[in-house]
Amino acid sequence: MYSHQARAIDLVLKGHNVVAVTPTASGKTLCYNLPVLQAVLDDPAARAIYLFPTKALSQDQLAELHGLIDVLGADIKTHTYDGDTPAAARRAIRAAGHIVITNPDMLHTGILPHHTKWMKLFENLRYVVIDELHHYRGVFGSHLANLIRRLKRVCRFYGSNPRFILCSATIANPGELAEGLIGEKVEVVAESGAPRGEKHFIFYNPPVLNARLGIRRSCLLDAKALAAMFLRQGIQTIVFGRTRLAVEVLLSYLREACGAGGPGAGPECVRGYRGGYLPLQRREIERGLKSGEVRGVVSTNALELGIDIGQLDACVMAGYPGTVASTWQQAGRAGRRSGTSVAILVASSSPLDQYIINHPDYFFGLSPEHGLINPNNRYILLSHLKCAAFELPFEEGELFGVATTDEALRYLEEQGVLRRTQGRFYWASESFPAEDVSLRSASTDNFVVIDCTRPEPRVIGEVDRFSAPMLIHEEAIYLHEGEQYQVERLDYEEKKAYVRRVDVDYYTDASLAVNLKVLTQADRAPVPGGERFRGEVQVNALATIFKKIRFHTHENVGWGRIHLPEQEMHTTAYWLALGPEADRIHPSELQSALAGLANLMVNVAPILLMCDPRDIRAVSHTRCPFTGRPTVYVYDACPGGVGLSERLFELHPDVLQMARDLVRDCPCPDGCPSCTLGGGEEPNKSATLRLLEILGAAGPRAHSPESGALTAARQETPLVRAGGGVGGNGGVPASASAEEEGPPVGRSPGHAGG
Amino acid sequence: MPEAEARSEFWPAVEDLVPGKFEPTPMGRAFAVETVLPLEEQAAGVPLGGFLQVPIHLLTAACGSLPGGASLRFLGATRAERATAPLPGLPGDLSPSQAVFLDTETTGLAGGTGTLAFLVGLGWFEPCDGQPSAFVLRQYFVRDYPEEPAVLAALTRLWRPGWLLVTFNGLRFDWPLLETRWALNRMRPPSPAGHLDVLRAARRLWRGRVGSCALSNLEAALLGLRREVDVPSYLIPSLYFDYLRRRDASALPAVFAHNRQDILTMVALATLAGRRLQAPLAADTDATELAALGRTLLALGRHEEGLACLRAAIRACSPEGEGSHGLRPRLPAPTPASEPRGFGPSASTTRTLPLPTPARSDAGATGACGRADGLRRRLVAELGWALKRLGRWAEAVELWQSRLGQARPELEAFVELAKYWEHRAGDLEAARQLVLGALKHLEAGALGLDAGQEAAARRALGQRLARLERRLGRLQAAPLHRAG
Repeated sequence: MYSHQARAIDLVLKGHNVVAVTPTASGKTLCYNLPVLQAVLDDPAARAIYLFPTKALSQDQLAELHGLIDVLGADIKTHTYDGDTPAAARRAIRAAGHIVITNPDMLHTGILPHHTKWMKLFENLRYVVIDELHHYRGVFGSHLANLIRRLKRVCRFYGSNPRFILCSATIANPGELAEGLIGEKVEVVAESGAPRGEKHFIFYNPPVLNARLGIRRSCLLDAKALAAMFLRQGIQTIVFGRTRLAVEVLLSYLREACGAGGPGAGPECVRGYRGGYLPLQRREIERGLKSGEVRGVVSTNALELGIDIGQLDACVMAGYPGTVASTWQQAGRAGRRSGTSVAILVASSSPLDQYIINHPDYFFGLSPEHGLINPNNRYILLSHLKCAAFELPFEEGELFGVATTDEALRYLEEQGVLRRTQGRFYWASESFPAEDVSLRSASTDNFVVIDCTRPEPRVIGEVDRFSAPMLIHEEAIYLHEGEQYQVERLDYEEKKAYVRRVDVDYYTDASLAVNLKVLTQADRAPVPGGERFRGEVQVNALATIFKKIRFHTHENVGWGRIHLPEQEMHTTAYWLALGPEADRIHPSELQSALAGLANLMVNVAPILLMCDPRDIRAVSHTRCPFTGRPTVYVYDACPGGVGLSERLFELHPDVLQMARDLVRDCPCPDGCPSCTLGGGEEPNKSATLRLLEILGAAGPRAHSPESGALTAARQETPLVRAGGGVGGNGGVPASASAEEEGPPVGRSPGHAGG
Repeated sequence: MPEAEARSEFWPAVEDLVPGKFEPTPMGRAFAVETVLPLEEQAAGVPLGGFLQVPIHLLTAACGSLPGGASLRFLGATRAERATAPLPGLPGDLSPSQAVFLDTETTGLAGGTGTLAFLVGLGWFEPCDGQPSAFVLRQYFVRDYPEEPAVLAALTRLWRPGWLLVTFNGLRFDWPLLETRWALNRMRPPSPAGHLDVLRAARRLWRGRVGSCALSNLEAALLGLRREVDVPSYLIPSLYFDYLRRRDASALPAVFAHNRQDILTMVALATLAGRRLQAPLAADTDATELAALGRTLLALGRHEEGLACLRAAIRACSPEGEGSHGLRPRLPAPTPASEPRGFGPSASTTRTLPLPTPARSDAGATGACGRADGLRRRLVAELGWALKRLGRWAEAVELWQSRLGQARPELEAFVELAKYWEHRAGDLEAARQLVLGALKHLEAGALGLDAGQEAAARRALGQRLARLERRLGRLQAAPLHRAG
């Protein structure tokens, strides 16, 4: 047993809630399997629930547990319980399953609303295990926190008080996130005691093809060349693509490249792996990887999660995975406990990629992202309050996470879904509220996307109401798992978009006329060059036109009007009002400078906030009616907000510093989509830079890339040279070696924010 | 003052409109409405007391569930179970007088913990000197949420040991819902001796005949009942919520009446199903229902009655006067182990079987006549399988041969007969003749098959023929080997 496992288990046995933060393949599952199995061995009535974000992970964990239980020779019944569980098996699982492995969606609609059928489980629930904690952030995490409130409420009814064991990849605030999710104090175990072999981490930036447009050579092509080189040398390699399409493209490239065949590298030795593959096929690939029969695998982030495939020699990431945590997870797939391994990050042209690739010091040296949630988002909270009232009546004065529970219950009573009588609130509606709440989006009234390519239409996705005018207006190109679909008809009343598969060389980008009004101002503080604020805003957005933009070249190849009603949303925002110093920027340049700054902030903030760039939006005003000054607003893109822009208020200097680094290090002459181009304004790179300097983001960072460290990041010549091999010493160019450190962990463990 | 007692000044309260009384329980008072009906009272044309004569074991086996929740669904049972244990696990001393009919009105159909059963109606046979003397119908009503525990406690207290639960869709809906309510109120649900779900019986016996098995459709189609004034079921939850909000009970008497009628209809349907199972051939009914009765009885191990029903069903959809001798009712049946009679082959190996001559069949027979013929053919095939399964070869062979004699002979009959001669009777030549006959009909297009089916049949028959000829060849060669 490693030291981190021992410590985690010790804390659990002492009755603490524990979050274990460990890199991939350091044996984190033992941290929860051991205490749970011990509990069942001591008391056969004891029960546990395991929550995994996906069904595939549940299956994987089931197999691992069965293995352990076989060794023990004990009668411990372990089952997955999800949409795939046959009806005939459900009764037995409810009555007699010791360990029930499920996912949040099933807990939400299938278990909690039927808790009387699970009486045995809830009466004896000792442990709740939540793995892949870092997945539960933003909207999903805010939902999960409320789901846990409901779970604990049901447990109280049955007289149990389970302990929580959580596991997470490296994030900046594991303790804070875990405590936010379960609403209790949590001990953090963050040092990994697992041995690690030497590991090289290489940052690779493909050469610039067109400096004006900021276009570099496709990261897919260079990732392919790197992976093919490894495979030909007999090095077991995993390649990560960002989309399903990228995976398929990379797979066919690689099979072609390996077809000529070195030893043990025929095309059948390279496999693809992504959602959509059948479970049996996936199991076979996983086994092949462990046994070494499969030499190469191309995957989406499906393999980033805790599925056991053993450890490989090399990892190539085609594009920045989106978060520092994901990058470490993916890179962690390469790395034997002994022996050397390598992970290569190949950057794409996107601003996020370019920032990371040019700032390896940031990546290695600074904290990883924050997992942020806002369990008290009004919309999310109200949705779950309804579900909770359905499950058990509320007593007057009972708290559901917030002090204002009573107020919210009275609101629901006014809405006619609750009936208050004799000091209790009863569910008083025909509906089944959990069915109306999707854990993966904030607003309840989603649009469904229906694919009509084939004779039998099928639903392929959902879009929340506030994004619908941007993403699924008629003629929009809707991207789903890397496939292109064109919207043929949008039935706004029925909330349905009918789409058809197409293969075109452009995407669509809708322009949004945004009108933003400050409702309340919660906080303000002076900053160099101005003042920062946070508070609640009302955003009115009207989608006006869309442009068709050609891939790669970003040429505008057509446009159309959008005729859809205006959207209104209340959310949280952070805003920055410029002081008189900003008047040094000429009024003719001010608009471009502000638009550039807004674009930069939206592009770099996700690095700090661990969110998708679509989760936040920015808008700029040269003369804002509320502040009376030139102002940039950044707001959460979901109603009520999930805490993203609130945190930006605190991270203000970091955001500006990163924005400045990104724009300065971008090789384009005067602004490109990788830095300041966006929002329809002509870019003006120098004006934006001057503005950033006024705002105090001036001096060079402690470890600027120019200082010469970590030069691999600046490597702009292709890595693959004719005849070059990696087997010996010469093949790998200057590398950023991270062998001893692993991901920086535990910088801010515990209870920040509290 | 408790809010549940609050009465509107303007609107009538439920107790003003429905003649009920308050029953004291440890959890408070429960509002109950009781009606006592004589056994002769007709419910939809059937006297209530008629239920006391139904074969309760048979009915329970056909649509019931054991106390532990284990289902008696015969479709899932193995053949051995069907043959040897037609009524597994039922209490031996079950009597129709133990039945308690139960129906609930709820705040929704969603199920789960947030759905309330606000009206629970029960009907049972009240004994007097050990004999059922009247039918009692009692309805408990939750006037507001806080009264639910009292209603549940009243139900528990009323419950008699040995009560056999009878519901309509209660296996899936009413009973689990009530169990949830008891659990939520930290009470123990009573445990019935068994559970008989009339919806199951209806699906099994009448789906083919009446289509939809909704209670309203069944009572209209089978009992000829048309409700004069009725609340549609889907409106009931909102009527209750309206009543809670406005305290206006004027819509409630109709809900009580609806619930009451549902229970009476349930009694009538259960009685009807029991009578049908008891005397299946006495009923004035159609081929579809006879066939369904036949299947059910066969599955319950009532083989003779089941076969008789299937035969009657076939007769019912045969044109007048064309009843083949293989389809005549056989009650009681002949000894099963006897050898087939009729034109069974002798020991001789070279012989011409009286096979029909092929004639191109008119596969496109249309209209009611064509449909009836299609149904008849299906039922004949089903009867053949049943006979084969029961090992009643003599009757099976007779039946299959009759199928060769009809206007369009059937491939399946050829094949089944060939199998019989090859594997049962050990007469390879007779089997070969049948396969050859089938091929002749096939080539003449006389079997009414489409191109795909013909190709598949040709392949299968070819394989069968090849195997038969191989075996025949070996048989002839064998003495030589021995001589050598």
